[in-house]
Amino acid sequence: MKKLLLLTSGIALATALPASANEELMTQMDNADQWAIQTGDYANQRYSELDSINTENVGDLQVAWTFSTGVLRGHEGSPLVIGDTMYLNTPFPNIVYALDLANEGKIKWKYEPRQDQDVIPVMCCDTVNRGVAYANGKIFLHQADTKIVALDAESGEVLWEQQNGDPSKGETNTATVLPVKDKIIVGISGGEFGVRGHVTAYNMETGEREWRAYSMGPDEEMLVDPQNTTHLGKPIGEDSSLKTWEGDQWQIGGGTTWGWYSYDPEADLIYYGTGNPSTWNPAQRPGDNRWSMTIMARDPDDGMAKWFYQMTPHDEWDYDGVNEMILTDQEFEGEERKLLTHFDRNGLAYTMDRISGELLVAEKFDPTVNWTTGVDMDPESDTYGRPEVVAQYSTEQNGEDVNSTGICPAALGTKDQQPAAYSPKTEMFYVPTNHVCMDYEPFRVAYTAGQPYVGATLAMYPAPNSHGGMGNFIAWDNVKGEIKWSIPEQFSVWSGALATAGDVVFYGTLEGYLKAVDAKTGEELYKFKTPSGIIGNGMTYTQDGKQYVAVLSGVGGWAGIGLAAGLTNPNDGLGAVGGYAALSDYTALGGQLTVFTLPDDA
Amino acid sequence: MTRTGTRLIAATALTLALGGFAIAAQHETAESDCPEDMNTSEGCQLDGAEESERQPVPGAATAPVPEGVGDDGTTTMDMPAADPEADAAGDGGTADSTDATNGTDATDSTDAQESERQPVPGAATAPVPEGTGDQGTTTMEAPAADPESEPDAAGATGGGASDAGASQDGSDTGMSQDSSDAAPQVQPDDPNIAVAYEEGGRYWTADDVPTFNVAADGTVDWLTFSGYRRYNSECIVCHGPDGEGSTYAPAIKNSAVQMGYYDFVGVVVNGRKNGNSVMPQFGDNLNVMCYLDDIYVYLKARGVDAIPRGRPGSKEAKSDMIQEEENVCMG
Repeated sequence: MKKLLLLTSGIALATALPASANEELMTQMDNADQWAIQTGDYANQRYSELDSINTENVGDLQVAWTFSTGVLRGHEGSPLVIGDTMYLNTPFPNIVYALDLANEGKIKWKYEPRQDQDVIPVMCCDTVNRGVAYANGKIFLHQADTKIVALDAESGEVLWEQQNGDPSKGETNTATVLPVKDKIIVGISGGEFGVRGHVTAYNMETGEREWRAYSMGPDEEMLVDPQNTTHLGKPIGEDSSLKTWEGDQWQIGGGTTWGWYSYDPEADLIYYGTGNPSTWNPAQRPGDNRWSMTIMARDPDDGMAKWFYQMTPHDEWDYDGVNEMILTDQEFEGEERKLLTHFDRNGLAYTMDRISGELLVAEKFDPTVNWTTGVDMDPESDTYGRPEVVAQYSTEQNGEDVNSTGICPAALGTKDQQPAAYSPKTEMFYVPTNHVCMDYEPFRVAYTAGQPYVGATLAMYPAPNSHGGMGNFIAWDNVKGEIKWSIPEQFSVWSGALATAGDVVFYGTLEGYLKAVDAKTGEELYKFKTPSGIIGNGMTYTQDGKQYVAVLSGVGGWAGIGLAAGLTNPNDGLGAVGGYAALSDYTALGGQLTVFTLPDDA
Repeated sequence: MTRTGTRLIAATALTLALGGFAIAAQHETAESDCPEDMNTSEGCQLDGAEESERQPVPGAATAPVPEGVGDDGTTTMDMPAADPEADAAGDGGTADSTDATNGTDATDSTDAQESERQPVPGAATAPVPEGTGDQGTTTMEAPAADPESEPDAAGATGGGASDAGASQDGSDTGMSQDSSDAAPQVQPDDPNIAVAYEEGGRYWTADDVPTFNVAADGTVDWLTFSGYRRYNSECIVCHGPDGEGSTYAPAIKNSAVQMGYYDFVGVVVNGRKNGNSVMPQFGDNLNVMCYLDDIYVYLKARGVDAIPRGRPGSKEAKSDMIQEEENVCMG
């Protein structure tokens, strides 16, 4: 009934009033000819109903047109297409372009913010930005310096601006924003600078701040209800976070919120994950460090938390929990369930009931994962829901100033932010992964505001005793918790996947290839080498009756740090280092959109 | 106290003394180095902008952005809204100030352009001067020029640098758009490298500059090992593993050799900017300042290839003196 009312008011009030924004955006997202949100839809499925490009003809794909963004850093995210307009933005300085697709991609307007360059070095891992968001006739840009800007989608005119964080304390932004109802929901980066993570809602029309929920700290600042907010079905109780930190360390405790967010309109809950606790030296922050490394479900109206699940209590490896939550309705053990699937940095893929927060499946999505033997799935057990840590790979148990070797995965995780896709046709998830292991030595560090707060030395290298590459692109069954097929890749796959009704799945590689594979078998059907490595996400849309596929090239990000010079394996012994491929042998910096389509006679 | 104590004090004094200057310089840099009328800061250097158009792009690009567009923080509709300063501009003034800010790099414009060439594994050891002095290096199978811009950003890329030294790891980044100084061709008896004396586990050159010590069996001095650890905590996220550089920051192992100790310390303490390449100031970061000599000698050892990539194998024990100084510094 509530939904019906909402729907009605949405129609009656058209797009003018805030309450209708949610419906307006959902209508835009439901139109498969468009790409109205970075994540494809609220469920983060990254699936398109378009099927004119399919397994039969994708081999004929050609480049239709290209566009240089004018910036040469890592390009994450993707363009949006609303109607005849394509919107895309760049890494710092975060220029936004509106391109007129009905007029050969002519630039309708361009917006270039003015930002203090001092934000650049406090951005861990490159100045990427994962794209703009659209809602209610507005384009929302969340800049590197955490300023949020609402632009008129037609003219590019600035409608309002709001400052979300303080870059001088290491608070920065790389993420897109999630428009929900009359709000936009935004996160924060800076876990390597001792930032205390939070999620904040701003009024879509005015930019006014409506609520903020911290990842850790006092109950009232986390927006939790000790009795009604649950963890694996049980109330979290009072001071659930404070009890798991020593002293006031939670104030610089990390748990930042820079991933992709999803929303279930029916349950009226938003989902996201929190990052690593600061510092990377676990000995310096005893306790479970709640609620870092946690999947969170919150009410978008007031931010109140419905349930949490902490995947990696007391992190010892920098396994941020920020990766996307993909929402699906599937049969699970004979019953229709509303599921949430999450591929975590820690190498485990979790399938949960997204309404209750019940844990259904937790399995390794890369067989090399070795820091844990698995998650305790017995609800009666004292350690229910906790991963069992293997002592040999525990940087906490091995202690400060000890180098723990051979830990899989590396700190960049079996998967980082690069989003997976889901096809309702195959009921499989398509997951870009890293196949990298590490040595990790924690040591004591001091905190200084706005300075790195890391406290560990890492060496990363391709997973030993495997295919020698640093990545895989896999298909995953979230009900059984098993890999269906796996494509070895020379480098980490740092590009988001796109699934389509044409049974073609697209992804990019760090060498710069856009690849198309068969959704059922993983067979490679097409590849094209774009001008630079791809860390952006594929998207698709229709213009004048033709289906297009587009992806941003521009190598960088985390991948640009370690892989640029090539990785070395210290365990190979002195003098034997350097045997692995360097990305610089394959590609160079870039910043380009490449748009593909089928030839007219295909 | 020891020499080191004096040095730390000196570094602090340097911070104080240069603080004001640094701030002033930064302002200048921000405005002149990167004229606000340029479309992007990457494009602040006109050379770079031209370079990047040479990308082999299938199909034609769409409408180029109108020149002079985009005063920062403003929207530009697709009309010729040329800002008069945009085109002509900046250039004249820019040149000067760029030089000023780049002074320490010893990067002249010729170097900058030349060093855009990417070194490639295999090309290693033999830098071939292509009429550019010692910065030019041969790039085998390397795709033309790195469409880079940053003026000082040049050789960075592990430019010829790593070639000169690296050799055996053969994996130069060659992707950084920033740059420092190019390939050090340094002999072990170079006065900036050679150990003149040791004191409490620290090694010094004849000019009283910290240096590394690698024994015949490969055992490194404590500072070099400690520098490896601190580097990997504080510096790696920009400068990449083993000082090799990343897609956006220079191969700092070369800077450590080329810049000289005092310039190196100055930049770490005060930071430095060039367009969108920004080195932050670490002057108030104990995790860096208390280990500055460690990081310096480690990178210098990497820069002249006295130690291979990766974690140093065996190391000398930490001396009581070093431990004492660390305790005092970290508080």
